[in-house]
Amino acid sequence: MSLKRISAIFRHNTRVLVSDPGPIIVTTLMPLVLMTFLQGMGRTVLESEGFTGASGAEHVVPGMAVLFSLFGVIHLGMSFFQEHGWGTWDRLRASPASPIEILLGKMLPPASIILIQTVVLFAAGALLFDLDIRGSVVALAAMVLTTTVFLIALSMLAVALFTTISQLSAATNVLAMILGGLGGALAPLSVLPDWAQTIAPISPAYWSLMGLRAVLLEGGGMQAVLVPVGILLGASLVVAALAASRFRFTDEKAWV
Amino acid sequence: MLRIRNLEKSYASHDVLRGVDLDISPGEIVALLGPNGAGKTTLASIVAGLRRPDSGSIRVGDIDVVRNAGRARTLLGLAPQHLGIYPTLTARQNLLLFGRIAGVSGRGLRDRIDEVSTGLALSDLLDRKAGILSGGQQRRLHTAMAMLHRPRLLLLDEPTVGADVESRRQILAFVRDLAARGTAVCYATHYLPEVDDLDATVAVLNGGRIVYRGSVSSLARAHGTSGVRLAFRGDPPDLAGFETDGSHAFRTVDQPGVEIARTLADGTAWVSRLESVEIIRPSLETAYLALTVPTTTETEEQTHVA
Repeated sequence: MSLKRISAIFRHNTRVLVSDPGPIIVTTLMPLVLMTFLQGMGRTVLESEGFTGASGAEHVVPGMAVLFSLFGVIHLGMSFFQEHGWGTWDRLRASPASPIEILLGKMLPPASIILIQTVVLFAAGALLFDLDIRGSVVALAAMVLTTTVFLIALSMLAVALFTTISQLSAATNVLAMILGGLGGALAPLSVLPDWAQTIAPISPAYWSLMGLRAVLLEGGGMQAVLVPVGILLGASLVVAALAASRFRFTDEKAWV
Repeated sequence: MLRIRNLEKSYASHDVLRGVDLDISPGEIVALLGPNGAGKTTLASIVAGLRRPDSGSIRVGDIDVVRNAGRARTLLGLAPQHLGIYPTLTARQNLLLFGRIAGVSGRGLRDRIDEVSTGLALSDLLDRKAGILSGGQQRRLHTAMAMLHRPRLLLLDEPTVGADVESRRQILAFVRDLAARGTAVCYATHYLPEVDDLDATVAVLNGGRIVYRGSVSSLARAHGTSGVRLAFRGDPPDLAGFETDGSHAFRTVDQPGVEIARTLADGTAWVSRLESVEIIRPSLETAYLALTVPTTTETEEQTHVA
């Protein structure tokens, strides 16, 4: 495995992503807009849960960050489907880069974008929405990183399963809303219907938000996020294994 | 540089390659000819490690492509038939990727980009987005991406499709230049004049087999046909032994001069409508057609099977 080749593919794919920044801008600006509308609702619900003095940002900032990270699955998907649409996929495969080098070089830019997007949202939360990080920043970073790892695994599964960009786009939107909504990213879990609260743990967003709330609202450290981190990493392994079993370098994908 | 033995590949029940043998030496340009569906693209894909053969062996240099496709790919460059460029990036950024992946960097990479962009008339276009280049410019960029790292084996699958006359000339000149420096080139094409322009030897692929391998002159001698072609104003008359096509009548004969004299001697009724008389000499084109156009019997068999 050559770090130089991975770095070359990484830089190249970052350029491709940045050369058409529309999707990145949307998944970064939209949550900021929604935070403005939803902060009051977040404050009311958190106060009803006993978190007096909460600004509401403790719910809406991680909620929107996780929801729009789920929408970020499209970044990696597009990166693969564009290669097929542009006729460059076979060129890349015929190059000296090995399959693992190609995969790593392609996965890292979308992962970086999800991370940067999350950092921007938390920074905006602190500056504009009175977000107070009461717990450990290291624990917060651990939650953000493991959530990103899971999303990259999920992205690869989506790339493996779908054959057209339309399928991928539709599935990403539906999945993001279902997993995000069920996990408490839109409205806090306490106001969801009983049945939704019961099945919420099947959503990775649930565990992600559980860890983030533990840090932001309860002042938790690494100890407080061990369970969600462990579950997200376990889920990442399962999803990555599924993706690996279905993904074929020789599969045809259509940019339609 | 390339040694292929008994290569076989089928898709479902369709045999695409049926025991292909092919050698290409360093510095040699081999024009891979064949009708659509003959298996040229499949052959290039297998050599590039994009598809696995059903059986047979392929060696690039001393590397077995089937067992070690990764190492073999470090020695080759591929420009697939369909255009493959990143339209949202500049021409230079397109070239940088494939140079870096091939292990060329820094000053060396800049020099290679200068060299290939000068050779293919891309120098003034390097900082333009690839997506806004003209068709011919995109085709030259597409080809440059395969040549940038000076591969030891270059696979070009119809590299001049859609290219204008000047782009075609530049691509051919650069291919000749690379070959002169020792690169073995497999050049799949439908444009027969390019074979002469490249001073290439020929491999004719038909029905999944190499049906001829050698020089253009031997091919023309061995399989080329001579004949007579008459052009008329209006429909051609009914001439014994001639086939008609539009306003033309054509006949394959060993001695065209004798045939012309004989035909004209009988032509009192139609000679006023005769516009031109052409002697067809054995050539790459006639030899290629003789090797690849299905005979009446073959066509009937195919129709029957279908």
